[in-house]
Amino acid sequence: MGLFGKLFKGPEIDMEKSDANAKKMRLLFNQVVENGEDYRLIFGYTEDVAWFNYGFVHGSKTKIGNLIVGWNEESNTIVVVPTVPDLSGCGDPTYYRQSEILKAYRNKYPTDAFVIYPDKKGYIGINAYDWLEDEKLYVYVSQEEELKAFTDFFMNRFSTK
Amino acid sequence: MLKEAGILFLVMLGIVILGQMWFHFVDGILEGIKDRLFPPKEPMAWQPLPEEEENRKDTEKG
Repeated sequence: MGLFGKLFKGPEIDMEKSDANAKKMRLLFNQVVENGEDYRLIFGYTEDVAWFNYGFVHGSKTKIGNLIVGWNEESNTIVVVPTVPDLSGCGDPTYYRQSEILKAYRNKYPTDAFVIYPDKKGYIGINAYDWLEDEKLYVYVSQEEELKAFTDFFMNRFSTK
Repeated sequence: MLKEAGILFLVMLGIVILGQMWFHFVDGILEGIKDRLFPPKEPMAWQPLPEEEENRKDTEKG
């Protein structure tokens, strides 16, 4: 590939780093979630950090909470585990069972997010992308296929709308 | 011409600095009010990455 080809190709994903982080996500998740192996995982983040009191990072004007999001298609359950961009640790898991939640839907505006209301008192908006370059703010992981699978699960199985 | 451009630049720089100071001032007041109304909760339990992973990382570094 020529010089211009390289210039216009955009940033390349470091797959070694991504794979190492995917393994760390799995280790952390399995550590705090019973039968963690039964869940598929993606990385997500939330800007609604009111329920975070540990582990969020400051963006330019927002606070960001990093999340390991696990889902189990058989039990129709999503588990959210707060973490930090370097995956040095994680917090307690929160379980969202489809049969117990108030509502869940995918929000398009103002940002693309998966929104879950466990009850009338609170909600969580999970943002997820196939890859985010800024590893100071987000977990560095490439997850195109996993994100597609999660979106499919959320829209067709978990969503209440 | 160069002098006017310099003055314009300094004026704009001043506006940006004042804007930033104003933002942090208001943001600080709002944060203060929020902390008083809704005091921070006890820190959640925090689990470090399992040791075998940490050891492997140290070995790789060494």
